[in-house]
Amino acid sequence: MADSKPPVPPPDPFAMWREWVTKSEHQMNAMLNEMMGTEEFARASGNWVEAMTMFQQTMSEGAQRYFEMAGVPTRTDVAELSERLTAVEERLQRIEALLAAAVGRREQQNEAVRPARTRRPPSER
Amino acid sequence: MSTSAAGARTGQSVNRPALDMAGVERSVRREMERAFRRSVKGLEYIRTGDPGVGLTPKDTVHSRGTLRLYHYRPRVDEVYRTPILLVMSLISKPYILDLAPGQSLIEFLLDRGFDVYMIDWGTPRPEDKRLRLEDYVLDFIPECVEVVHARSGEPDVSIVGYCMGGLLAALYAALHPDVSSAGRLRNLACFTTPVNYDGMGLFRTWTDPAHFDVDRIVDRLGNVPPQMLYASFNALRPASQVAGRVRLWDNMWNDEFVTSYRRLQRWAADQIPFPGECFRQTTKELQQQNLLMKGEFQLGGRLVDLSNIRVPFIHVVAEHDHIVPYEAARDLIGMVGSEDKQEIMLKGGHVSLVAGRNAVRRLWPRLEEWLAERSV
Repeated sequence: MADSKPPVPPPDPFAMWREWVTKSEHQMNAMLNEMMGTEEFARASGNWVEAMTMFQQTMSEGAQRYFEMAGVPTRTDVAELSERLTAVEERLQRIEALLAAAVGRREQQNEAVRPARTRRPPSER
Repeated sequence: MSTSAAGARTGQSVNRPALDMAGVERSVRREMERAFRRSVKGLEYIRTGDPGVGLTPKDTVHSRGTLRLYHYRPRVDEVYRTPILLVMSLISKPYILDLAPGQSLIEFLLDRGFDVYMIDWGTPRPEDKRLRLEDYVLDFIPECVEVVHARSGEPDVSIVGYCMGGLLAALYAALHPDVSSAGRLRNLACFTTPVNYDGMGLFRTWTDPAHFDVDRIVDRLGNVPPQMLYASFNALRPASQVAGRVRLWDNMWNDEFVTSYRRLQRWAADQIPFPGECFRQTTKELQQQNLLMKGEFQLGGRLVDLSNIRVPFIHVVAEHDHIVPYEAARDLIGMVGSEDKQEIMLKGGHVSLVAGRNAVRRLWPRLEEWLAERSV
């Protein structure tokens, strides 16, 4: 009777290792999330953000002063230029739309390749 | 003491199944082969560049500043009458919905006979720091809806929004309840859309006004840098980065896994700046004061009342969403005033809900089924 039993698959150490990785990941995340949910952590991260933004602002102002002294356009100058270009683009688009409306042209699209809008849901087919 | 152990000690014959030695051999051989392929593929991984994303053919039919409205080219001869407009989040790239052939929600919808448009907000420029939610909800989305209406020739449109895109879509729907106007909303589908910011878990704690001075951040930086957003998202699951790399190594022999991993990683790391004023507004009014949930949130001087949404509505949430936990999303269904409304919870996380192998099996067919009945 013993011979009729199917052979037992061996424990797969690789599968066990994969399970362990997933389990450890969940445990670590849960543990760190608990720590990061404390007021102390929130305060520390707030201080870090404060220091980081202060540093970034100082660097940005320093670079701006340097470029101004060197007579090179700064990021602010480029941003202003870009803003004006965007305004021109938008105005052109509005004019284009008005012109299209004035001559009675609808959106350009090849009618021949437009599929028919008659499809029915699978339940009705 | 177990029976087998007792039997072994007394020398009695034991009814114990034999160990499957062939199975052991197979397992060892499989791992040896994988180890070999890992080393070969690992070199390829280092050498090759990022896989292409967002490749489904499309036309840009409208642009304004960094905004682009795409119209995807049809892939079938007959489509549903009502076009779909996809609205993406402000802080991530839209190609998560068009990762690759076979892994693209957009391609799936096209193949199933939908006419698909998508708003790509683009990467905000320094001057875009002034943009507020009003600009998106009361100006950009209505303009895109108008373009879809003009281009399709259809009076109505279905809107599908993912994450913060779902929030923008819901705000738009609540403030544009007029169903008699051209370009009217026909159906609204939101994926993992937060409305109750008390449920935002760690984000809520980290942005506590006692420690987090949003005014100072925006005043100093203008737009919020993507590195800051990326770091905060990663911090929600700090061990997952390491575990993800271990899994990548383990599956390096598997081309499909590696390509999919690289595409998703590329998207996750491809964060874009958050327009400064919009960040200030969402942090203060939504995250810190939870005004939308309290029914006190205003846009452009108008009170946002989500019960004004009367069109067919579906909210799809993910069971293991760590970015928008269910506690933050579950109230949306109750706040919406539609008679035809439903919420479905699917297995998966915030990203795997919409992209990847699981999305293909779970979300996409459900969305198709829901939209098809309501798009004729």
